[in-house]
Amino acid sequence: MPGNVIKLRFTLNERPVLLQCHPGTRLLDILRYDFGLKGTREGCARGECGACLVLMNGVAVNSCLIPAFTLSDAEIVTIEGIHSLKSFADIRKGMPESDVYRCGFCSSGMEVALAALLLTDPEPGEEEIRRSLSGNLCACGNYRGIVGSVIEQTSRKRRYGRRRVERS
Amino acid sequence: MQAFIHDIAPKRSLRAAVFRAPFRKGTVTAIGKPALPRGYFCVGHEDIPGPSVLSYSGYSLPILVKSKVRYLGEPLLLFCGPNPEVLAKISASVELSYEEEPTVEYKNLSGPYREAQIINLAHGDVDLAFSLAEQIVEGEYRTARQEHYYPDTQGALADWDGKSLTIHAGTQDPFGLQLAIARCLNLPPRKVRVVAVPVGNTTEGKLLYSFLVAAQAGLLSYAAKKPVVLVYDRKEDLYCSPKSPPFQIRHQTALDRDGGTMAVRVQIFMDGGCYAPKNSEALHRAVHSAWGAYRIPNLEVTGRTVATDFPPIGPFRASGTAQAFFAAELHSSRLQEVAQLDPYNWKIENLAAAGGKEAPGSALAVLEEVTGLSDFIRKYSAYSAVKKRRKTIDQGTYPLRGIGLSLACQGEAGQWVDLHNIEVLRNSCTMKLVLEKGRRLRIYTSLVDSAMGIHAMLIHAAAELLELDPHKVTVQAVDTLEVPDTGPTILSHVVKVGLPLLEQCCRILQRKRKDGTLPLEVHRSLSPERLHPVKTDQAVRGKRRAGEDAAELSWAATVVEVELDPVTFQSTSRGVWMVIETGTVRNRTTTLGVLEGEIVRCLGSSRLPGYTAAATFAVPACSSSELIPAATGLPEIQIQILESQGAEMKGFEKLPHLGVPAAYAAAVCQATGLYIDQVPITEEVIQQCLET
Repeated sequence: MPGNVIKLRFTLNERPVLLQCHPGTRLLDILRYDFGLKGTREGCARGECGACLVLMNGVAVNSCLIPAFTLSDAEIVTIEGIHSLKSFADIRKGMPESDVYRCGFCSSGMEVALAALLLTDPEPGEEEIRRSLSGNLCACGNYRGIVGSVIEQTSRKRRYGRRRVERS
Repeated sequence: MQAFIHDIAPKRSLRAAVFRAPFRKGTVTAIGKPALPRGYFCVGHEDIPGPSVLSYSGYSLPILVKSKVRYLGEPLLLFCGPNPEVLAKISASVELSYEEEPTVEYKNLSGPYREAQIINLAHGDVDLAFSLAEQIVEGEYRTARQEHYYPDTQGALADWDGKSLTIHAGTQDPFGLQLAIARCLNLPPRKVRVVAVPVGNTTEGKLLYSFLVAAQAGLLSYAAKKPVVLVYDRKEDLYCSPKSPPFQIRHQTALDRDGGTMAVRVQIFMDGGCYAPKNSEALHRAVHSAWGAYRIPNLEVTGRTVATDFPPIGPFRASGTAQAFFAAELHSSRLQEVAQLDPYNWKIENLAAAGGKEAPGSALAVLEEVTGLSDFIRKYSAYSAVKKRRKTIDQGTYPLRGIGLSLACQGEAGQWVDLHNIEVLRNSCTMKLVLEKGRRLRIYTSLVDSAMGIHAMLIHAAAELLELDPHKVTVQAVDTLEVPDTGPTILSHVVKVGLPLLEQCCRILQRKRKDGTLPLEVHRSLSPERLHPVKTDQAVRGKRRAGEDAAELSWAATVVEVELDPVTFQSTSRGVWMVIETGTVRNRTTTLGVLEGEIVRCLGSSRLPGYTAAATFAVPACSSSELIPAATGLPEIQIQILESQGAEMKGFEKLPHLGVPAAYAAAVCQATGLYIDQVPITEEVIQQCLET
């Protein structure tokens, strides 16, 4: 039905994209089925589990709750972008080690939530990390492992950064 | 990044949809199938070439029903085609005529209802003991239906090429699934190939139900002669998947003058759901675990499966045992009051012969260790003193605090039932190892990787035994064409069967390596006699009484400390301490990770509202946040593993399910001074207890 289709222009992983779709299509479906970005996962489909988190204008949002008509001129970064873009190189250093996850289903959502945190606070404490992950559910209950790994990575980054400053 | 079933569908594959019954119970009188556009297909009950009911481990479930509907969302028709939006329109245009029947709510399972199975177990003279008793203590305990909530919903990709069928599915039992699909499509098993994809934390939810989803996808692909992907959405998975059975357990204990236990009478009622199993492993386990870990001189247990109008039940981690231990442990807290002993001393007085006081790493050791670690005795006395001083629960504005201790064992009775009742029996379980050039080892097994760290466990065990770099050990992708059948992926099966097979293969490889040239290949199998030992109820009971199976039991003592808001009764766990003894531990990090994750899940199922059976699709079943706790507000969790040198590794994944809910409930009882007899314990439950 042409009347029900809108044209959208937005930025996806720092690339401008143009898309025609129904205004009510979920951002999650656009990412997975129109752009083949399968890292963004569908968990509960009602904004509770955080498996579908993406960065929208630098803020972590549940893509299962974002309708297409709100995407005009938005800047969307998915987990694929966080893993590959140069602008996220520093953020990646603070991410948990990949072997810390148990089943791995929640990993992409967790990392998007952590990226949103690290963008504003490069050296978060345990409380801040836990709070930033409060919208992400891990069915394996592995929160301590994930939080511990982020603390370790960010402190390692801090130590490494300090050494580089001292040398220079 | 892991690719789950949702992520692997090729673009050319057809999408599928299930047309489901929009009512809970009744009879379909007519189904008006809509006209299908070109390229769209429909499959009904009459199109199933083989048997239309799938069975696993005593449970059964129809793939599609013809007329008699027993639960909300029971599948009636299957559709597939290229466009999911068109499929939704086709499903909406099905004309269904039906006669709805009233459903019974079964608030009390002990009513005169249809019983699918009865099990009796007795030893000693219970009637005589009760007639001589100084005091009889009674209690009735209830546990709720539990939802699996695996993060990845059920799904399968099926491809029929005219000669054979290839199924990609998130399943815990690829060879069981192969056999089930072959039966349903009336094909020889060799014409069905199953490729297992990773599964999330399943709590055994990807056994029977994964077969059903794969069978539905297989039927559609068989009809369309094209690849078909069927992935359930969260809503249909929540409403229609089998749950763990709820239990109602009555305890009657005869006590002597000093509060010593003379006899125990237990009545167990299991809600068997709408497809109540006639031979349920959960009921067997519950009956064999009805008296917890304690020494009972005279015992009488009756277990009944009651057929109800609730959703179907299926395999669930520690199902039956967990509920029996919860009831036994909570009942023991009432017996402690009568005997005027604290939980620690009561447990020591009443410990079962199995384990024994002298045995290293036994029940006594885990109890001693956990009470020391958590400072249990001091805290228990302090909170008891506060409780005595407080006349009513709402006196004062300070938080209510309590601490609970539980003792649990995971062992042979459960294991025996696991293996004995599985209907998809194997001739043998096999594993294959190939040592290649460059000291690279490849493990061929049908055990799939899951949140339990199964592959990590196998890799580390093989690397340690063969002195290899763990990075050079890999597990072959699970494909029924490539790997041998090692049985279902249940952690206790992996420990009992998978790891011993791996050890045997490694030992042979070590011998062959000295004079053989690479690559070297080794197979080992466990015979049916080893897999399915013939053990009667009598034999199992006799062994437990005599304490002969101490070496086969894993023990766990758990302490949970809680704090409740005196106004809202919102609870916060202040700490969880667990000490376990599970033989020789392979890969300590994985074991600790698995235990901690299970503790978090069990804390959630103890205090979050959980799943409730809905009457229509308009009523929400439950939300994710009512099932899984979030990262905030979790307590400090301390786990200690006591290793017994030289002992075999034993199953441990069920221990948190057996220990945490009972310890949590005991802590809430102490904090509030109420006798709470159910789990989950929500704010509403405490309020109700207070009012009654």
